[in-house]
Amino acid sequence: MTLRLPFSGRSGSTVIRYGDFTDPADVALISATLANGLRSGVVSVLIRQS
Amino acid sequence: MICALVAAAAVQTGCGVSASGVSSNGGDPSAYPLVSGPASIEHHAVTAADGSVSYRPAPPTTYETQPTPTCQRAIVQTGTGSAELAIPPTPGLRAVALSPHETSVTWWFDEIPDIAARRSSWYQWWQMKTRVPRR
Repeated sequence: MTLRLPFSGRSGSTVIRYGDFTDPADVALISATLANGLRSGVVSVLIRQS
Repeated sequence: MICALVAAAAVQTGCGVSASGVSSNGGDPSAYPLVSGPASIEHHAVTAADGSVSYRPAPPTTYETQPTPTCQRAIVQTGTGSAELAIPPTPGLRAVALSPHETSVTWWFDEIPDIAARRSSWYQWWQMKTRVPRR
């Protein structure tokens, strides 16, 4: 599943909802990408289970 | 079992880099720290129900990462050799599961050098994927 959410600013947050056709996610990854495709490194974290 | 949310924030401008990838901030991307790709990513074996084994990157061990303090430099291969380009900083990231199929993700940057001058032109987006593990 791929989802794109526009935002502006130096920080942000969002809630990702996805169908129960898949197992619960336990890892999140992120990178920053310039419009021309240059991309930062990718970092990942465990998703804290509340 | 590993299932991953993949998120990517796109930055329209930043790091003094033009759309062509060439530095436009006075021509000195060398001020940014040079980073290299992951030389060796730890992998672990995953055995499927049919007995087949695949190797996947080891899961992370922390719940939060901090952003890199500045943009960075990376050496990329081009058709004519290699080039050194400025790349955006890595965001900080934290994620909390609200329910089995709802996850709150928070991201932030410490600083992007020309963010103040170009803030109005910023446009960022997230790309998220879920990856269903093979069992």
